[in-house]
Amino acid sequence: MTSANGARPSLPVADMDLSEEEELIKQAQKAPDAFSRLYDHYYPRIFGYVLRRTANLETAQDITSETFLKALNKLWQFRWRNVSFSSWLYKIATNEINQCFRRAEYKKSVSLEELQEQGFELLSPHDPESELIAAQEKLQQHQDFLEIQKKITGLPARYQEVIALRFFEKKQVKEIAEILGKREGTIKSLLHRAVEKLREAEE
Amino acid sequence: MKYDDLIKKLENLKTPDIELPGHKQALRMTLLNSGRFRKRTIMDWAKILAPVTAALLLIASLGILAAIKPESIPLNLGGNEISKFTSYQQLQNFIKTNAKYTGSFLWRDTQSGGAVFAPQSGEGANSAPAPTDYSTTNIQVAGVDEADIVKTDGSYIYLASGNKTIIVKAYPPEQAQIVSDIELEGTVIGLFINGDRLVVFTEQTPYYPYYDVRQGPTGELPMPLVTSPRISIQVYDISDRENPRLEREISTDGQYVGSRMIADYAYVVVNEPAYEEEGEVNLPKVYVGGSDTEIPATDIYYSDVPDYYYMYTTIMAINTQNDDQEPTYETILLGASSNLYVSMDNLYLTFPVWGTGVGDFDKTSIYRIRIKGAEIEPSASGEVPGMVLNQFSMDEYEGYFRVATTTYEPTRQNNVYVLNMDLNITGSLTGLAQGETIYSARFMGGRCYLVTFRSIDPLFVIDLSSPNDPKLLGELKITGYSSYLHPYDENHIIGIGKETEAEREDFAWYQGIKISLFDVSDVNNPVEIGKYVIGDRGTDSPVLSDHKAFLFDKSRNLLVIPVLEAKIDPTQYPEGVPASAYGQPVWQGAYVFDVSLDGIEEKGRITHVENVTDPEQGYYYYYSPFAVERSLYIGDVLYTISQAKIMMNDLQTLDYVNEVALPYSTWMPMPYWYPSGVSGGEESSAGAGSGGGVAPK
Repeated sequence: MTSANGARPSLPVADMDLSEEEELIKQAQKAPDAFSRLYDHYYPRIFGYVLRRTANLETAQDITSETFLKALNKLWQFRWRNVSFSSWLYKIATNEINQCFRRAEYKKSVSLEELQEQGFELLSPHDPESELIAAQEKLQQHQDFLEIQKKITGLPARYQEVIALRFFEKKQVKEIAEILGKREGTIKSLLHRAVEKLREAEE
Repeated sequence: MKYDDLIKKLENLKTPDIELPGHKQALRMTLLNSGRFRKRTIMDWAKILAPVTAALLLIASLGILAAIKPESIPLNLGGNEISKFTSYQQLQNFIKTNAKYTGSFLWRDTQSGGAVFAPQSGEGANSAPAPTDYSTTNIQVAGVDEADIVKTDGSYIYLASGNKTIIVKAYPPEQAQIVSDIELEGTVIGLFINGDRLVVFTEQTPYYPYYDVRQGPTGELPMPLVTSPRISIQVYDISDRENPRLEREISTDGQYVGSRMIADYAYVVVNEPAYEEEGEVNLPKVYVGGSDTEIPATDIYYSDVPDYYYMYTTIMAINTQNDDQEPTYETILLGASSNLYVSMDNLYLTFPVWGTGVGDFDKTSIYRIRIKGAEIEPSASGEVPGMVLNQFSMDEYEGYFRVATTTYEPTRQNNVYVLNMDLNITGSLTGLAQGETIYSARFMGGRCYLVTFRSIDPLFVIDLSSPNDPKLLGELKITGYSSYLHPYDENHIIGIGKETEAEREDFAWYQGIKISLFDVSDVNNPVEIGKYVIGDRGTDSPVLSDHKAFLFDKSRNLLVIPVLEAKIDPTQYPEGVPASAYGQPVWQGAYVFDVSLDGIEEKGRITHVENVTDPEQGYYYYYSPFAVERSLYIGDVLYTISQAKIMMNDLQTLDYVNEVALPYSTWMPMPYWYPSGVSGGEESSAGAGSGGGVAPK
């Protein structure tokens, strides 16, 4: 799903104007319809990113949920940050992934099932089991990816992040710097060392 | 493997791109159902239901649900017959046959119930003894008052604050103090003041999850459990300002759409979903003086327009002066009302009509309801292509209704339609500003001014003097855009919006707040004769989305707007400040301008923030109770109002005169979910250094 020049193709929905997006973010702080549009735009990207980082569908679901819950909760702060909304979401997701990796067990983040137990009832006829089974089959078809992904997860988190963002999410160094809150030079040298480390792991 | 080969391998690796539509939908609902959107909110059914239905359709297409296909609904150009149901069975069958989706709830911040004071001086029927002249809420139509969170009668200021209405003796400023407060069940969303009568609108919101998935009768559709908030109108006798006395009350279940007051009568429009449960269709109820009345099906109006969901729209009228006259009400079965425009004689409700695509609306249905005192009469319905932005996109003039819309298919474009009182289109001007969207509209007599935007701001001047033949007279292209247009006089307009810096032909970055003064005396060549830009990118003002935050008085050359100002520190950008850079908030308060045909000059600024480092007051706190929301004047005193205080300054010199501390609720951003019954993050705190104190209940 990536084109030759490295850019992830735009989603089937037309990409938003940046000015439109800015307005939307402002509205999204209070209006659910605006938030909904932002969500629609970014859900596939964030879910995809988390899945490619974790290679685990259930974890990816939970981390994606956690990311958007946090984003919604912190949206009122967003407007004063000097990063794009996209980078901001990736930043939250990256922190969540790292936290998840640090924990001995997965599943500490809030799953939708847990939310339901806490009194939230969901308007969705979705059957999480059958959806997961189908997705799991699709994931298993990416053996090359799963193999190298397993090696990547053996590296320290700072290397995992840059490899995933650069090669899987096709982010520019500048954007990675924005997401991770580091200087571009740092990202470049991290990338170099990350690939070296991965090469060692490959052998 | 070589380093370069590994890079190549990584770059060409086929990575999984898997979606979980069910998870996506469930998470969306969880997010939208969170407390974040439930506080001080009002819903816009149409906008909310769009993604819900889109999602249902998506799920349907994945085979999880039986397919629900939208049908193409032919454009119905006016003149639909409006009748009443002949029986409950007819209503039941109508909803079963026509509604594709019944019920579902979400919330958004209130657009109504904001306030500001505009130029009309001391108008207002049966005014209490006003010592001097004073400003009133900035309204759209002269004589048709709009409810707001702040009102004045020239002696007192009436404030909506959380679940309280506070009455403050305001003039003379030296004696300013709180004289009483009224504690209410529910959030106060707006007030009217009419002589010795105070009208209070409240919304009681149930604090529990709205979504309950159950199987519909066919076993295919999720049936959301609808639990409605309740809207109440209360009328208080305030001849003794220290002891307001509740005289009457009427309420109904549903969501507040809007309200108006014309002479002695207050009108309110409330939406409640019509839904089917176990084969039975609910009927709306009205509660008057402690007893509830179910509105029988045979009293409910409808017109035969299919829709995806139906709402009972109930319009209530209450005489604010004469307690002997019973409140009146009428209910119409409609789509989800999204915009309300009221002239002296008619109330217009618009709602989007489902298009053929997934979740898109491409037509707007319009209802005209004649109002005269206590009489409420549904009179006509019709349709126009496109979507209506807000109340300012609509107008009634000399027996014609005019409306500006944006259509999205096949390309974005903008249109103005003229309709007669049967709501048949008599004339139109279509295809304006391809690729752009309406940002603001204002009708002034025989003309319409329209601002559209994508990268620069065209201001269009349209001649509507012939209802059959609207004509484009002129246009002006400048940087920036206006979100609100206000008549200065018949040949000049004030525009408030944002400055922009174009990056490409089709894209621009928003910058600071921009105030413009347009000269349209030469209709073919409008000119910008004054311009003032406040702050850098990140600067914001409530006026951009709420005209009631705007105070203007031409005779005094006075313009006041609340602003949150942001500034960029250029030393942080040694290579030059990019257009995309955000400023940091540095100030919040009211900007006071001197506006004349010579231009726009800053006269001064007033802030309520005393200590920037106090986290509750500081600028980073977007919802700071110290943020000025409204301004008004009485005599020579300028009053600025935040949740925390009323500050009084000399209107000429802006010198500080006095202030009154207000009790307010702190609203902290809530954790993202709460189990049933927990409303979260609200606690009462008394303003420091209270200048009055709160009268005991």
